[in-house]
Amino acid sequence: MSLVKRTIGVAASVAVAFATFVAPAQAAPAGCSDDLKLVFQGALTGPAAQTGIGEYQGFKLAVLQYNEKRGSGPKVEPGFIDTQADPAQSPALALATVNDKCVIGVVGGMYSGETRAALPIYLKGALPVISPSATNATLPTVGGDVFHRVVANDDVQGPALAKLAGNQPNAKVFIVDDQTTYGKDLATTVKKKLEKAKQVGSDSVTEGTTNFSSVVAKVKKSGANTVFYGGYYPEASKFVKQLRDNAATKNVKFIAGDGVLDNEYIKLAKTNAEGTSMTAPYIPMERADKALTAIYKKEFGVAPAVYTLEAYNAAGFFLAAVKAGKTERLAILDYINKTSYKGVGQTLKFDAKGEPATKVMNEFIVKNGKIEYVGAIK
Amino acid sequence: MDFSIVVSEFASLVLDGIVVGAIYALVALGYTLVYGVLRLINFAHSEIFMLGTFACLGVTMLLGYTGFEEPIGIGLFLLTFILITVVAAVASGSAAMLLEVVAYRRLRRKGANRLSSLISAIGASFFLVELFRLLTDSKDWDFPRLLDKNSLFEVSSAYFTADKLVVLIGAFGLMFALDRIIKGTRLGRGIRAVSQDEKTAVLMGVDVDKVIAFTFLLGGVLAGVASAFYMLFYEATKFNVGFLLGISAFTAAVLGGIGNIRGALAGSFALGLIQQFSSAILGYNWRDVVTFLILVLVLLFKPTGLFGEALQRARV
Repeated sequence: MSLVKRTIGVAASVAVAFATFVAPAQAAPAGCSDDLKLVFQGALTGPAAQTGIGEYQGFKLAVLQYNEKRGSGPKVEPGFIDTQADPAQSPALALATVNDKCVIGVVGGMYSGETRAALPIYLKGALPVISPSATNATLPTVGGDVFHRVVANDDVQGPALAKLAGNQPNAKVFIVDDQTTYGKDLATTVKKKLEKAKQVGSDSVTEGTTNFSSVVAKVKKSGANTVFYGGYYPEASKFVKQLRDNAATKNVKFIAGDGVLDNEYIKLAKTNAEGTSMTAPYIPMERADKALTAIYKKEFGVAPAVYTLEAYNAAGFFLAAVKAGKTERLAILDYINKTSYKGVGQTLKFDAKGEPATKVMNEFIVKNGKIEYVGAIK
Repeated sequence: MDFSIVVSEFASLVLDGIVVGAIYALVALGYTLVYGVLRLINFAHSEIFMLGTFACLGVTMLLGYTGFEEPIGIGLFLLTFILITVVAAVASGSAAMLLEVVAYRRLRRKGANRLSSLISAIGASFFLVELFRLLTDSKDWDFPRLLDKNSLFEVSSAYFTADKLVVLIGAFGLMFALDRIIKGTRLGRGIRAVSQDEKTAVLMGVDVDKVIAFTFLLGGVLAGVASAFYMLFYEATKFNVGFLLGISAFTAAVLGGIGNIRGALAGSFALGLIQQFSSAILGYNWRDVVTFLILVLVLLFKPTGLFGEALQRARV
């Protein structure tokens, strides 16, 4: 097993290095006697499942549409690995994916942690990856040239959040993070980019925190009128509730990144979520293409979620490669690295690090119990 | 480090520390009661609490709450909340008794050593957590707002809200009731007798099995009531809620002197306050560092915990 793995690894890295010269165009990859497979990595169960299912369905829709119109092109099967967005679970699943010779690419993972844990394995297997929603800025350093993402990273999101917080009238901002890779990085960027005069305090909690009363006491004492939270919606919903329950911090403006941008946030925080501003590098499918949204709703019986369109377009890029006659991992990787793809509402083109050439960062706000699109932050 | 917050927010930190401490105390009592009679840390106790939170949630769902209602009037609230509390207490109490029968009783009869019981306890805990992870889809579950959380009155910087008052009054009432049960009833006497000397207690005609079952029932009921208070206060639960709270409650029991009832109470309030003040002064992320440092220091100088000596004299 380890010998095989090492051999693959060596072969892959050599091959990657000379990817330019290797451009085979066969009907099926060597060692695969079945249909080609495109795999989605993300959470289909567990706390992050709502976003994950949306992404998976967007991905699946793209594959289904391709298969319908493929003509004489090879059939592609939509597969998935359910990591529950858990970094502890993703490596084993990624290894199984790499070892399946029919898999030509991965759309995912959805969160940064699970993606980071799986990337070294994909890199070894020379399996191209396009993530629709993993935003941690350091991912390209682990993912080498197999890693790509549709969305702008946290280096873009952090400054946008700082701008959003600083733009509040007489902004006095209190900054809280949850000490996760995602939350802490965002908070650090906000601290760096926001004028010092506008920062009145900070604190760090942990994932799973339920009792925010000491943090609320600090916000109260700091006299802040704006609170930035770097973290995810389960804790954010509790935090915002406890802020609103305290007469002194009741009216603070609550600002968070895309980790909070989820309908579950509103379900958990209820009316306390009203007015929460969030940033996200995503484009709502409804805004990009009404007809596609209708098809999606008809196919899955639900409205598209966050990053559904990004997953649809990520899958679209892979399928464009297959359409162009590329069926081997390296050929597809080369195709993705060198060409661009005009998807729905956005054009995918990656720079040398796999980052998107055009970086979108939008603002959203909770209004009347719904997440509403405000506009791009410039 | 910010000590000025201790001055300006002293009252609010104390109040919140005591409210959290009261919830810890109800759970800590379960650990300490079982340890008192069995010399066993019932690691599955935190899951008895978790089960209670979902029982609370079940009641509100059956009553038709979706979570988006306005808070209800005080009369209706009391009726609803008493129902919720009773159901949670019954659910947790019977689960605790069942746990004792399934996970511990047979081992005890076979004369298995403590280690086997400990493993059995951990196994039961994992079983319940993973079962609820599956049943609840690993999601966060929200609890409806039953009570308006506006401040009723203020003392310095502390806002006294209705939910905090309910938790405080309820918890102190229950602690008093427990004290009466342990001191004044036949089964309470049995608990004290078994925790002093099991063999002698048997010779004196104490039905040990009955006493142990009753101890688990008491601990379970307390955890069930604690879960109702927790839901009222935090309005959310999750399959792993017991683990996070259980660690704190267990720490409180050890801090006060495990096996000692008053110790568990004192330890819980001390822990609530320590957590509140350390997170305010040093930052929330330092909370557990400080908490456990204090625990280690206390145990270094007084290995039986703050009130541990009383255990030997069985002044429970």
